[in-house]
Amino acid sequence: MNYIVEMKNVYKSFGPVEVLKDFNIQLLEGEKVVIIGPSGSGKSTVLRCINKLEPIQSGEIFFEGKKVDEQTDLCDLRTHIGMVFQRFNLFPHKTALENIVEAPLVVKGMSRADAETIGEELLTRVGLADKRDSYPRELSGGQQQRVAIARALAMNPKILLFDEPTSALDPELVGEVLVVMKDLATEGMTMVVVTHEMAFAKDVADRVIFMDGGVIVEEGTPADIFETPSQERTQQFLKRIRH
Amino acid sequence: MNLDFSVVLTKIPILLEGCVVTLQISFFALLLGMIFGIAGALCRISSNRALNSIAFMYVWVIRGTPVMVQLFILYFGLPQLGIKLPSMVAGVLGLAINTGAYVTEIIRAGIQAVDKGQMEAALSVGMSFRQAMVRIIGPQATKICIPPLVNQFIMTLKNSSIASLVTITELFRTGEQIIYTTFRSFEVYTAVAVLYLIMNSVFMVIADRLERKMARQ
Ligand SMILES: Nc1ncnc2c1ncn2[C@@H]1O[C@H](COP(=O)(O)OP(=O)(O)O)[C@@H](O)[C@H]1O
Ligand SMILES: [Mg+2]
Repeated sequence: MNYIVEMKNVYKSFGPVEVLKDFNIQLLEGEKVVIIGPSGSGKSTVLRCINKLEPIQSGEIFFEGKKVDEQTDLCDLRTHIGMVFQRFNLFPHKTALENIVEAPLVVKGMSRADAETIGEELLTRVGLADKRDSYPRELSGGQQQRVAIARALAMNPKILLFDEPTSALDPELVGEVLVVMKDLATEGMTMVVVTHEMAFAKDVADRVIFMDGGVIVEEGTPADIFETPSQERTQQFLKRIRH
Repeated sequence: MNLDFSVVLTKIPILLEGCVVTLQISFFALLLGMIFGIAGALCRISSNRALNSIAFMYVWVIRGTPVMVQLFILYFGLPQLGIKLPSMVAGVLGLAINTGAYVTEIIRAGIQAVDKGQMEAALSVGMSFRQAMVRIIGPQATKICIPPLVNQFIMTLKNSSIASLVTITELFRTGEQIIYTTFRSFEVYTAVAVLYLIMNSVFMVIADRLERKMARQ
């Protein structure tokens, strides 16, 4: 089986704090995986290890079957792996369009005209064509996150990682971001989403992973995990977030 | 009371010559100081241990000692080691080294004040560390640095009066020389103070414009 991303026996610690312990995960092309778990369980760290924002202490990570090691061009690797952050992290000194075209211009060396064509297409796709010249501070949280998704798409990545993309948003703004994410899922994008939006997970996820204490406690279809979790830790966690 | 500002009026051309020297010293001290400061800040944030320690020591020593002592070591101390610097060189270099230490701290703090998420976002779209620093972190840090840098520039311009002690005839020393012959201390020192104030005010106005322009972006 060819996995787009594979983590094998990954061990990651911050100083004395063990964050991932013998962690294993395989992601298929086109697969949508939702990761849930309590705060501090290592969900963000998993995503950040995949695009090498964090180094690992031991274990192996493969991208499209190729091992990621010292020889890997990290800039190139990261162009294939889009990331969407909880706090959006848009570039505040750049407009919505400039945020999106930045990487195509600077990393790919694309012409401004071509980059802007792509940028405008992406803005239309996330429903913000009219905001191309707005600065992040002039946009609502939901709009900022949609621009951030467009920015992540600009390099035409093979996989998108979402780290709690809606948890910094006011409740009434969550929907517009989830709609964009669902569209992406429908179009066949490979996605790993850390989220506690259960309706989204049920709708979109092929697989739900429950993490706790740096390990995968349980995984399965949304129905398996949400309706009939087999592990007590999963049951307790679900009980907590449902209240 | 016996005040006579007409003395000052007749000496204005000489005082203005002093201003020119003060501006020259300050300009070159600031230019060099910015270069030292940018280099120092890059060393401070680099992961290279040696560079980091050198920059740390630089800031520690310079901030912890009086600028006058630093200048005296350069001008009066170094000749004992066979290094004789012309007064202008010693004056500019001393002020630049001093300014550079503070600028190092200002820029380091400015860079570190930029949200960590900015670097991560830049890297995550495939930018190199250098590209991220230049295109994403730099512009944001610059904005943060402008007010403290303006402060530092004003300090340097005022500190340039210390150059008078290494025999540079800048504004303050010009004033003193006028006093030797006219005995008009109050009038001349007041005139000197006003001239410093005017130079700094011009500078403050320019800085204020710049800051507002940046804030609008
Ligand atoms: N940069 C860091 N330095 C030190 N500890 C960290 C760092 N990032 C994360 N951690 C620790 O790693 C653990 C897992 O963090 P994280 O992956 O962010 O969890 P989650 O996203 O599931 O909330 C936590 O205990 C957190 O305190
Ligand atoms: Mg997290």
